[in-house]
Amino acid sequence: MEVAIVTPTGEVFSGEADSVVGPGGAGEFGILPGHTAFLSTLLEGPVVVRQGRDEQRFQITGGFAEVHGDRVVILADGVAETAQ
Amino acid sequence: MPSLKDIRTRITSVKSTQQITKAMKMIAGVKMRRAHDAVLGARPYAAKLEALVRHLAAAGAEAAHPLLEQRPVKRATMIVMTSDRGLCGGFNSQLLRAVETHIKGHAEGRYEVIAVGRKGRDFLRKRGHKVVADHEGMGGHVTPEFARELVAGPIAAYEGGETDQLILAFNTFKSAISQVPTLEPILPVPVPEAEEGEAGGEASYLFEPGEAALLADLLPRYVANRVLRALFESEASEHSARMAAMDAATNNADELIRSLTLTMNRARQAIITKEILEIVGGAEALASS
Repeated sequence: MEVAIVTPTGEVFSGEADSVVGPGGAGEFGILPGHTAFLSTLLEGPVVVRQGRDEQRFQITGGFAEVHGDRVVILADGVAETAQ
Repeated sequence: MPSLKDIRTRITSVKSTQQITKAMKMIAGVKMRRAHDAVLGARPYAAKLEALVRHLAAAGAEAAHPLLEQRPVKRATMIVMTSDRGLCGGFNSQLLRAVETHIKGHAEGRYEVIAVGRKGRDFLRKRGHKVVADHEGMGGHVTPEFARELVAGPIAAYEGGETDQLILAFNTFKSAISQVPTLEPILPVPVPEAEEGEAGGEASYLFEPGEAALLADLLPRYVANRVLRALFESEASEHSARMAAMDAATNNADELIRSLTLTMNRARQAIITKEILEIVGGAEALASS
């Protein structure tokens, strides 16, 4: 599935991924391909994007997540740091 | 007739002014490019956020939120974005004219102004408008945090019923040669129209933690993002306006130097002719004596 992480000042990440984990407003959630349409708030915390063995971690300061079809969009207020 | 020396001094001074305008033009060009990148960089997020608001509004009409509430406008707040410095053509004046026309057309006295940029603050104060807050030195330092802080006051005032409308006044960056003064109402939040072919299928969204809570989280961010985009647009417009103004000034200086050089050459030729006549006249007087 396609994942994009965007902040008000630009796109931070865009690409294919096998799974996404995020700090949802109603508890941490994980998204795998084929997830139902989904909209959630995000709290401060790490968003983890996995593709095969690769894992990328984005420390966000809050925002929203939207899943629609095969696309995951993370709207982050800001990204504090990223790590491979 | 000005003396040769006077003209030479003028040419030198015009030349040094031209050097300044040329440098300012180049600096404005670089800054414009940077500001333009910021405008473009902000677009994906803004588009996605707008789509979210649209989806939510379509899915949950009953989940009303205070920021969506339309009421008769008794008092309004305006955020006016201008530059701190001049020498940028009609950038500030065209916007401030549009702002004044709007305020006059909607009963004065009930408008409160938040000024971003020294030029707008000074002008509106002098004209007797109520400037309740002002910010300066924003050039190149616009951040999402600043936009959020800027709009926090008006949002609270709107929720508390102290103001019934919030309008953004800024120059939209159309292109490097065109900036359009824009007045955009952002409170109550205008719900974006659904795009063609997007309707349907939206009711199946799973909302977490619920529509009302999502909306409450989303709307202030949406408003802050509109402000952020306006700030970016305004900055790109400022630099492009300055670049155009400085380009015109540089060309004018070229013209001036050309005509001054012509006058100088004419004056010099006149002096030479006069001297020759004097010598010839003197020689003839000697020869005839």
